[in-house]
Amino acid sequence: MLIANTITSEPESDLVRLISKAQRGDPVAFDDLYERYAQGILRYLYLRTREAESAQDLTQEVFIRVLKNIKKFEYRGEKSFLGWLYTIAGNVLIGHVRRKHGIQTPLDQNLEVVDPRGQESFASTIERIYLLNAMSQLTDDQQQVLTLKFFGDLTNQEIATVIGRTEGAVKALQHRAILSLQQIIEQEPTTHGDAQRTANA
Amino acid sequence: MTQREEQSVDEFMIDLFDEAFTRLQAGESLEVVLASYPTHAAALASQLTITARLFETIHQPLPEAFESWVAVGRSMFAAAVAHELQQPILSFDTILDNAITRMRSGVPVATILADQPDYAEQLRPLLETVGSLQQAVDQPVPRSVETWLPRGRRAFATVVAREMRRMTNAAGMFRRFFSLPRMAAGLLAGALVFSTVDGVSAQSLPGEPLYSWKQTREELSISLASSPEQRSQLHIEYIHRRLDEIERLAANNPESKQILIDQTVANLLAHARLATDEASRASDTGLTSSVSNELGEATKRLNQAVLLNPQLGTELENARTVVGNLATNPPTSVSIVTLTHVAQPNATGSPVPSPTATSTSTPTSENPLSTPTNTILGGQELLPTATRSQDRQPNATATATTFVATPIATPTPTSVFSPLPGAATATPIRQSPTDTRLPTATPTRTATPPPTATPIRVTEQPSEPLPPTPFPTQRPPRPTATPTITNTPTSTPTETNTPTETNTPIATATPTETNIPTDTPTPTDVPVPTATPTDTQVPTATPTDIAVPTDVPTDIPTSTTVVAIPNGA
Repeated sequence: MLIANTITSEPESDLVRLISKAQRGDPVAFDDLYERYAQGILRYLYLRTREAESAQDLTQEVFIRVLKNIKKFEYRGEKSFLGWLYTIAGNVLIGHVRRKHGIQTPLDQNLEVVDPRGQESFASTIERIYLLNAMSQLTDDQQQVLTLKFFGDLTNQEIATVIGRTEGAVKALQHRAILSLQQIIEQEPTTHGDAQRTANA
Repeated sequence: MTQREEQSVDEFMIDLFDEAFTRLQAGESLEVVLASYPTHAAALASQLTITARLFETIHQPLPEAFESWVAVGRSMFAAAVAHELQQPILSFDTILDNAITRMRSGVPVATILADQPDYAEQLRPLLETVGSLQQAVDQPVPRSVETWLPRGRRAFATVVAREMRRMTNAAGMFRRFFSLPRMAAGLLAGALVFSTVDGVSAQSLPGEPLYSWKQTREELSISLASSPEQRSQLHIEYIHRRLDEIERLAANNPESKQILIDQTVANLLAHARLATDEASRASDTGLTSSVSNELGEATKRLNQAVLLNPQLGTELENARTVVGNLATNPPTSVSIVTLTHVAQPNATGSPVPSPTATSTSTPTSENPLSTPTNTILGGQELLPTATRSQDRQPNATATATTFVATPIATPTPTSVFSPLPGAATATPIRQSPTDTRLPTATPTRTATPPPTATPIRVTEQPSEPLPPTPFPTQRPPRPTATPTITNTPTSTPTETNTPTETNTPIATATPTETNIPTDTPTPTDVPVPTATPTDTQVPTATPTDIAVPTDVPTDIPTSTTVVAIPNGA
């Protein structure tokens, strides 16, 4: 999984020490945390916003929030820190979207579409973009569950711990989130169809 | 055969068949059983034969294939049970979650759907969405985005460093934060103490610790007043304060507070003079009459105090006269008067020297006045009595005559303005003689019975040869007052000479002998008052004290004090 690759997994004891140092105000520890997790957060934010500058700014905002709130974090395993990190990123993104009244994917602007595999159609790429854009229309809880599941690679139990819900509730949220995404995509036939037509052309 | 008989035969046969059936079921052969019922064998044979064949069929073993099928059937039945039981437990949330988990682990969607035929249609679109989402998540970001990371890292490091500094500063701020409240608390406490002290001091009396603060506040108020009118009103207000204080002091054991009362009177007189002075400076012409009225009121109160406390002596009476004069004849000139503080008694009972002011009058052409000067003796500003004018001399002398016997009165040919001289010397002298001398003097020389009489009363006795002791000690401070006058270069000697007449009584006042303290201590001569020789010892000390001031005024032509004269001589 790509996310898993971007986040280097080191022994948990290292992460414990790192977080402990950061909580004591060690700048080097913050630098290590940034080095370890910034790429994943940047990816997440870029894929959600499709705006490089916004993603970079939001990444910095995420880590500044980490800096200011690290003392409040209670370590319960690496996934708990990852979940906490992505929760911050999700909240930052939600705030960003609300400030912008919804992210307008710049399809007809400077959209930088990357398709490293080269086999996928442009339409499927557009669909993915729409899909991630559609995530912003979900509830905060639904977004959080999908983010933790697909970007953070957390299990249901870990997600439940992070968001403070039961595992059953996580499954229900996940179900409703995916159902909502499907419906959102189906409700945008025009744009999606245009993209499809553009791709086919 | 009756019906009953027929029924009993049938029942018998049934019972007989059941018994035979049981024997067959138990395994006995048909032949053995039939042989057991020879009478009824024919009737039972057909039924028992069929039963025996049925038993043979039932106990016939199954074919081999059937036996092996049982295990298969059993597992099929278990699967059927599991299927029936699983359906209601698994919610679709779980089925989808299981499907997503399998899908993300690489299981093809088709396989997943095949495993869930009942939910395949429901799962399909959702799993497609999940697939798209997973692809979206896995897609790489543009290189240009990720190349920013090192810069972002440096920027974040800068933010971290700044934040750490800020936190360090915050710690300092925290400490300062706590110092600020401390300062504020200190200021608040100071203000509280200030207001409390100020409030309490307003009620204080001379001799009390906070009285100095009260007087300082008064002087401050006066100095801050911007106009003569305001200052004059303040002086009037303070005159009434002094009167209140005098009345309160005199209310309880006034003899013991003689000094304080005298000093308060002196301060009152200073305020009275300054009130009239300020009124004369004021542009408001009506102020003078207003001040006169106020001084008239003050005079009445002083008069009442004199009447109520005749034992308080001449200071009060003089003050009454002076204030009355100021009320009726406001000065046309401006005199320079400075306020004096009422001395605070120290532990020994002697007042701490405090500065007294001398008042100086500027003589006018038609009404020459004695010269003004504020002199300071030994660092103590004295408050001398300046002769206000020659015109008033007769009055002064008149008073002098009345007080001829009293050393206090005689020296002051003019209105006496608070002696309050070099304080230290004054106090012991005044108190000791009153206590001690009286017994010795009065009994022998005069017929005046009450030895307790104050020195003043004694002095009222005709100028007799003397019991010298009391008089010189009576007003030792006087000399200190006079030097101020002499020091003033502007003093007109001619004018000051006038008192010489008044001095005469003093000269006559053989107090020279009286000055000799050695006389007084000898109470042995005195037969009657055997009383307290120890007390008599006290005066001996006092004369020496008296000698101190006498040194100062030797030059004084107008030496108003009895003590000064003999020494000068």
